[in-house]
Amino acid sequence: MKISFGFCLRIMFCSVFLLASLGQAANAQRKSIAPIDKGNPLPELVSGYYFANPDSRNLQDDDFENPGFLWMDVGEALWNKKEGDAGKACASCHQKAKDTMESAATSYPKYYPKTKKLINLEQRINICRKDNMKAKPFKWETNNLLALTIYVRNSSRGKPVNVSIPEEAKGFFNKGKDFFYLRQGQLNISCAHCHEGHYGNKIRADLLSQGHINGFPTYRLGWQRVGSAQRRFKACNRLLRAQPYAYGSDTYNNLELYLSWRGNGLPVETPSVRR
Amino acid sequence: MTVALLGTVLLASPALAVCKQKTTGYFRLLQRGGTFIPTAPKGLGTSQINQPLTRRRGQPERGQKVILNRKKGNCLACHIINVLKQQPFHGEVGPNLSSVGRKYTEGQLRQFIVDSRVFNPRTLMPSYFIKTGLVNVIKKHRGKTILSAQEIEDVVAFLKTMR
Ligand code: HEC
Ligand code: HEC
Repeated sequence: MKISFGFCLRIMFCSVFLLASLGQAANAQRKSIAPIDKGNPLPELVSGYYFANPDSRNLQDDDFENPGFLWMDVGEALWNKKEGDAGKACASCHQKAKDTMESAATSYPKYYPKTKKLINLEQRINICRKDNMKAKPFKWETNNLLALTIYVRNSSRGKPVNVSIPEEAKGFFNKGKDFFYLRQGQLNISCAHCHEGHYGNKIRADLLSQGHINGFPTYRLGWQRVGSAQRRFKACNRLLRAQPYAYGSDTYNNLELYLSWRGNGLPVETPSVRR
Repeated sequence: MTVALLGTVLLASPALAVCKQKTTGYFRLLQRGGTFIPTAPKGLGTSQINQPLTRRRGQPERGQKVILNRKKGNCLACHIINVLKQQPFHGEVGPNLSSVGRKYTEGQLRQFIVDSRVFNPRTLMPSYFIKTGLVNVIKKHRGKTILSAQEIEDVVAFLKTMR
């Protein structure tokens, strides 16, 4: 067998290319998009992905390696499982999540006329379970609730986050905004201090991101499991030595709406991976 | 040109009117991460606390311990201090502190730790010795300052050796 010079070159070229693409996540070019909404204080929107360390990014890039996909599988099973007295599954009403869940994946939290407050995606799922399936709601932050939330969000992975602020939601939106800029806790600093004024700077070993929630629920290596955006709010509140609020509290729902809006236009990346 | 323009806009805003009053003219606009934040200029503190907070003199060795302790000063979360290089993970959110002892008077250093908002009302640096005006403090820390008076004196003593 004769190996031609051209063939050798080709192999060399391919392996260089392969190495380059392996290294790609490590040096991921920080992509940014222009904010869509008028009044967004950020000059550019950058997903938390580009501030995460290379190991986390590599895990997130590979659906087989990404530990968040363990929950995806549970979510898919739950989507199709009949539960409750009505004898229905999510799929009974919504068929395939890929076809029907884009708006749910990208536009929560939303104003809910019945309670005249905001509800987030987790709460929407539980309302469906209670009202439409006559099944028990899942408890906050349980594997089942996170799994379904991840499954629904992931059905629109890559689609832009797109929450809207109708008249009825304005008050909640403004409260969320006030909270983001509130100096709080014993450290007496606000979310904005780190995530608006200093993103891109290292604090300890972490690169500060813009604090977007387009990748949530996220798999956090530090937690050894997935967690919701509101769990991250609690963690950052504790970091400030501030009293964390309850899951699904008005304060956190308002904040979740405000933070989603700040990231309007960023792609849904659920389940993202963080350190 | 743009910086000057933005500066005018910023300084004209009501929130900053107050800080302008307190620190007349002593602002430098820094572009960090795309957002303009006013920062106190190097070497130009306008306020000082010349009176030590305790009778016992501060000791640099104890100050270093307070600075390193993540539950106390945790200063390396945000600052680089060259002489503490053997410690991992210095943050870069605040200025390098390696020569602050030369740049500032003892009174200014004390003021920075007690409450650095006096130099820059929008600063990210925590106020280590205030009890009032705090919102939503977690129970465990309610009604307490981050550092004690003695710890502040020790930190100041350490910073004075950063020349
Ligand atoms: C002292 C600095 C600091 C403050 C203040 C702070 N955070 Fe964070 N936050 C961090 C760090 C460090 C991380 C992890 C790195 C990153 O993703 O930014 C983080 C991560 C996050 C993330 C996850 C981003 C992602 O892509 O995974 C969200 C969301 C967030 N913070 C929200 C908040 C909210 C809401 C507040 C106010 C209650 C807040 N943060 C206050 C330091 C801070
Ligand atoms: C959460 C972040 C953070 C922490 C923690 C922190 N600082 Fe700072 N520090 C800053 C920032 C940001 C500045 C820049 C001043 C400004 O914002 O105008 C600063 C400024 C300073 C300055 C003035 C430096 C100069 O060159 O102008 C001193 C001195 C200082 N810090 C000391 C300390 C000490 C000592 C500790 C710990 C006891 C500490 N800092 C903890 C963020 C921090």
